[in-house]
Order: sequence, then C-alpha cells, then structure tokens
Amino acid sequence: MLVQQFPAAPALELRGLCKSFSRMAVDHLDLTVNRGEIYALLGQNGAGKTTTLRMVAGLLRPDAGGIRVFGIDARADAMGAKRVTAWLPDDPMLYDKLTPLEYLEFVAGLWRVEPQVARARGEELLHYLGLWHQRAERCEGFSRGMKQKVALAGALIHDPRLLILDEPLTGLDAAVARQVKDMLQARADAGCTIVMTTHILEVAERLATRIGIINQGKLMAQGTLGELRLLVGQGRSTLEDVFLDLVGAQGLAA
Amino acid sequence: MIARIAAAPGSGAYLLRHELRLGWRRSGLAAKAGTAGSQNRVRRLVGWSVFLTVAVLLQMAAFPIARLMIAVPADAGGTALAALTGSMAVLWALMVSHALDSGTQAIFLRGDHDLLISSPISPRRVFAIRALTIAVNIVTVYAAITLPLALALLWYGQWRWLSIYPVLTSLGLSAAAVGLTLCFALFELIGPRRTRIVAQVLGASIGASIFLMTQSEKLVPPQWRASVIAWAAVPEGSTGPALQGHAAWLPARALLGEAVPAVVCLVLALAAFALMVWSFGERFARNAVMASDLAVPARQRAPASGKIRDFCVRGLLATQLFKEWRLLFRDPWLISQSLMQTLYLLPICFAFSGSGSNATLLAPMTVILAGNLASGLVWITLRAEDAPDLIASAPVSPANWRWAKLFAALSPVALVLLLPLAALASQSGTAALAAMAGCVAASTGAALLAFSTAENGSRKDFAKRHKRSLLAGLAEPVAHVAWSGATALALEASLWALAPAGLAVCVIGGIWACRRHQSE
Repeated sequence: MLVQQFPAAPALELRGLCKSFSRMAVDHLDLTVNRGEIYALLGQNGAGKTTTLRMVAGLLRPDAGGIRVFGIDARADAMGAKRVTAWLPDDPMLYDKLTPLEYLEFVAGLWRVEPQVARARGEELLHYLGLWHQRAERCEGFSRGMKQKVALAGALIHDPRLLILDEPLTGLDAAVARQVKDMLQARADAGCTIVMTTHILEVAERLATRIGIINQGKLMAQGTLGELRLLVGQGRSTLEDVFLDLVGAQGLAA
Repeated sequence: MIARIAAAPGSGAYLLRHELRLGWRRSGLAAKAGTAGSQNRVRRLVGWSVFLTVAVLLQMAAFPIARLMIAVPADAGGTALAALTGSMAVLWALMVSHALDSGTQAIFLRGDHDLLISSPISPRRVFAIRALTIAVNIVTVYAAITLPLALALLWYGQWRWLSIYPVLTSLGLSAAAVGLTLCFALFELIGPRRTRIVAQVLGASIGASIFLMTQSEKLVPPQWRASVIAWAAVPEGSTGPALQGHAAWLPARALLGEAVPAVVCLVLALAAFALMVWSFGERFARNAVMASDLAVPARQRAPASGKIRDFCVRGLLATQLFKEWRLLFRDPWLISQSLMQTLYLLPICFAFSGSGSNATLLAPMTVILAGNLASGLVWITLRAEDAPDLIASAPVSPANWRWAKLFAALSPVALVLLLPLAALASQSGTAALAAMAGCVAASTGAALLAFSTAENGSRKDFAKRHKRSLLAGLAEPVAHVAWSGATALALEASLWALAPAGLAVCVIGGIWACRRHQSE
C-alpha cells in the first residue's frame, strides 16, 4: 500500500498552491493536515475553499505548488493519491436510474473493491444512514437529504484514508445533519482524515480538530479553536467572533 | 440483465456495463425498481407495444426494399456502386451528427465527472469507454433500423447482405472518431461554452442538410445538377476488377459481400477510433472539468463589467420584459436548441411547395419558424421560470405576469420573422400577407398549446420538455406543419387549405378542451 511507504507523512500537505481563473483564486497556499484530524476550512464565498479542495481531489490542475496526500505527490502520481481519497462535492450527482445499492456498488468498483465486499459495506452504510428501506428504489425520487446521504455513503464505501467534503451539511435537516456528523466523527475516530469546508460555524466548532481560515486564496490563520481565540485576543469566545475578526473587515471591504 | 454481466471492478468492461445499464434504463423498456407492480407492468406493456408496432411496420416496409436489393449482383459496378456509396455517405453523415450530439452530452451534460475523475480510474480509460459507448449506441440504432431489412433478405435466402453489420460497425466507429474529434477541436478553438452550442447546431445542420439534399431538384439549378452527375458518373461497364483501385468504393464493395474490403474498412475504422481515443484521452478529463466548471465557479469569474447595462426600468411590464429578454439572450444555448428543432421541420416545407416558386417555399417555412420559435420561447418564459415561488409571492396578479411573459416570448419571434416577411413582401404582397396570417395563427396556437399541455420544468431540460407527455410532444409539430401546409395551399388558391387549418384548430382545440376537463 502506497500510504505505508510514508508512515510519518501528514495526511495532506499543500505547498505554495496557486490557481487562477480570471483572478487569483488560490494564492500560494501552504497547509498541513495531520493524520486522523478533522480539518475545517472556513472562508467567505469565493475565498478559494472549493477550488483548493477540487485541486486536492484531482479535478483541477494547480498553476503552481505541490500537493502531497499521505506523502504521495498527487501531481506526479495522481492515481496513487486518488486511491486513498474520496471527494464529496457540495451538490453531488447521483445516477437517477440506479438504486442506492447499485450506485454504491458502482462507486466501490471504481476503487476496485471486490463486489462481495462492496455489497456488504453498502448494506451496512444504508442501514446506518436509514436508507435500508429505499435500497431498491431508484434515486430519481429522492429528497435532497436522501441524495446527500447516498452520496456520503458513496464517498465512504471504499474506506478512504482522506475524506474531502465540500459543504457536506448544506440543505440537510437537523436529524439528517446529526446523523452525518456522527458518521464523520466515527470515521475520524477510526483513523480517517477529514478535510471539509463549511459555512455552518457550529459544525466546525463542534467537529473540527483544527480550523483553517482562508480569505482571497490565502490562509489567514489556522489552529484549534483555543489557539484561534488567543490569536484574536481576549473577549472573543465563539468561532463566529474569531472568524469575523479575521476576515470580516477585509471581506466586507473586498 | 446487463447488471449480471461479470466484470472486474474498475475495468473497462465494468465501465462499459455501467454505461449500457444506464442506457437500457433510460430506454423505458426496463423494469423500474421501486415502482408499484401494476404501474410497472403497464409502463412496460406500453413501451413494448410501441416498440413491437414500430418493428412490425418497419418489417412490412422492408420486403419491397429487399426485393430491389436482390437484383443487385455481387460484382455490381457503375451506377449501383455509386448509389450504394452515396447512401452510405448519407448514413455516415447522420452518424457523425449523432456522434457530435452524443459527444457534447458526454463532455458537457453528464454530471458524473467529479465522481469518475476523482476516482483512481485513468481518465483515458473513462474516455475510451465513453467513446466506445457512443459508437455502440450509434451502431445499435442503425443495426436495429436495418434489422427488418436484413431479416427480409434472409427470408429470400440472401446471406451475403449480412455484410451490412460489419459495414455498419465500420461506419459507426469512424463516425464516432470524427464526431468526437470535431468536438475536441471546437473545444480547443472556441472554448467550452461555444462548443456546446456550435457542436449541437453542427450536428443538427448535418441531419437537416441531408433532408435538403433530397430536395436538390427544387434547390439546385438544372445545369449544376447535370455537371455534378457527370462528375460522379461511373461507367456501367466498369465492373468489379476495373474498380479495385478505387478506395472510395471499398464500403460499397464490403456491403456487397466482398471479404477483403470489409476487413479493410473495419481495420481502418478501428485505427481511426483508437487514434482518436489515444489523442484525446487525457484532454477529456481537463475538458470535462472545465465544462462542469461552467456551472460551478460562477463566483470565480470576473465581476460584471460596466458593459452590462443596468436598465433602470420602471413598471411591471418593463421589469418583466427586461428580465425575460436578458435571460433569453444570455443563454444562447436555448435559442440554438429552439432553432435546431426548427431546422428539422423546415424540409417538410418542400412537400408543400407545389409550384416550386420561391414564395410558396419561403411562406410555409416562415410559418414553421414562427410556430416552433414561439413554442420554445413561450415554454421557456412561461413554464421554465427559475423562481416561480418568487413570482407567485409577488403582489401582482397571475394574469398580468402571464401576459407580460407571453409578450416577452413572442416579441423576439416577431423580430426574427421581419426578415423573411420582408423578403416575401418584395416578391409578392399576397404571399407576405398569407405568411403573416399563418405566423400569427401558428404563434397563437403554440402559445395555447404551451398553456394547455406543457409541464413546468427547468431551462436545462428544454430539449426534453415533452418527455412526460407524448400528446404534447406530437401536438406541437402537427399544428406547426398543419399551419404551414394551410399557408402553402392558400397561396395556391386551393380550397384544400381549409383541411390542414381545420386539423390545426382541432388539435389545439381538442387539447385545450382536455385541459379544461382535467382541471375541472
């Protein structure tokens, strides 16, 4: 296994990462995520969070800089990095004409999981996420929450070491959101590294081991909630205060 | 059934099985999991009934054609070879058009790029399988269409004509290679946004130009036709051996049952296909992501410049009109889709042009253009409202909104029609008046049909807007063609003009009455 070739390497390492479209979206970004961490990347709309994650997932080619996933150079060995990574976009696509179980089996096959193993894992995930009774229905009639749960199960079915999630809780009701949060925490406890973006600061506050705040493509600050509080000074008790202190004035001016 | 085919996870066969399964389920013939038993049975019964009816009709039509083909000897030369080559060229052009359309679908409209490209499957393999699926789909469609003919020929003991299948495979593979190459070339030259539009228009134009070719007698001056026929003529005496050196006849000779030309065609087509996959495999991932980014990082694009004028409009009608016009003109894909559908209906007008004069050809075409554009634009504005809840919650009566939307949809139609109507007026005032009356009738009919049949949907589903209602899908073109025919016959001063006009009124009135009945 490639991951074992670099036992001491961090789960994700970004060095001088750059990407521009009509303007600079990610600007010389340096970031390290340790193994087993839940890392929340926060930022305003257009701050460069999704672009960063899409580059890590191999969907966008960086203009410059390096990406290492468990020590694997993702630019030189994209397939090696993808083998241990799962990507869940904010608006995931499901095949409407497939049932959840068929979808999960297909995704598992892309990561070369044996069919018997895929089926067992798929059934377990559907049970866990409360989708067992819909396992034989096609996804075309599913609600947003159900689709999000199926997509999350798809991201988990090949047992990734690094899970990259873009706004995983957007549009979910409280019960489903709770289920998803519990599942993410359980995965992290089992050793999976999770990097996620979110606009829901409570989620970052509750789940994240460390938090990174990005603005205009640059990392403004990172650390535990306690470290970030210290950074902005006394009297700032919530993550919202810290976040607004760090990006608020600049963001409003931008 | 397809799902049971064994394939190693992540292999090419695995991806191919997945693509075929999706295609089979979209066909409507597959059992639908999760649907109530009786519903499922009825749905499948209807699907299979339509399928079998079409199959029987095609089979009946195939026997007379098969009897003509039997007369062609295996070593045919001259005119027979030229006719077969010409037919295959037409078929191949249609296949390229199909490949262009499928190629744009595969690159621009599939939502699974994130999943596939973030997986550890090589993009080259994903692309190879997607291209192969396009080729398989093309070959399957034409193989299915020609199956009745093959069966009829077998009925008459003509085994040699089974060569049609290797020939179709060669044509399908080469058409997929050319169609996808065109897609990628356009992507590099003009970028993803324009490629999506240009490729689809190009595909439709190829299809429509074939219909136009069938009307060359009315379009091309006699002296031009004579010179083309002289250039393409093959002496009747030039039989098999004399033509061995002409590569142009290889597909025709393969079709006549010669083994070597069949193998050569197949090898060449496979080589072209493999070369295309090898050349564009890596670019596929980049292009697919760029195409999917069209929808994603709007927030990353340049901020609106001062070029976009801020219309300081006042009043409900003006607000609504400017909103609808802005949305229409900022989405040229929708306009191109609407025009493409028109392109397919235009060739029908040749059938109405009895005297062959320019006016009797242009007038029905103008009417079809009016009806089809009106149908599309009224559906977009009325049924594909992006923010229906916002509109419904606004303190404005629904009737006001509807009238404003209708005006917004029909005013661009009137603008587009100015040019052909002016051209007609320059030739004949009567023809222009008749065409104008036809356009008004067709546009009004289109609006009434949009009110009564079409379902609400999203703009991106424009091409599939009648998917759920076969009746609505049929009523629109029938009404447009009927108004067009009525205009053409009126110009000939024929009382028969009343027949198609009556048909259009009956179709529209019948559907309107059905809608009233349902709503009560």
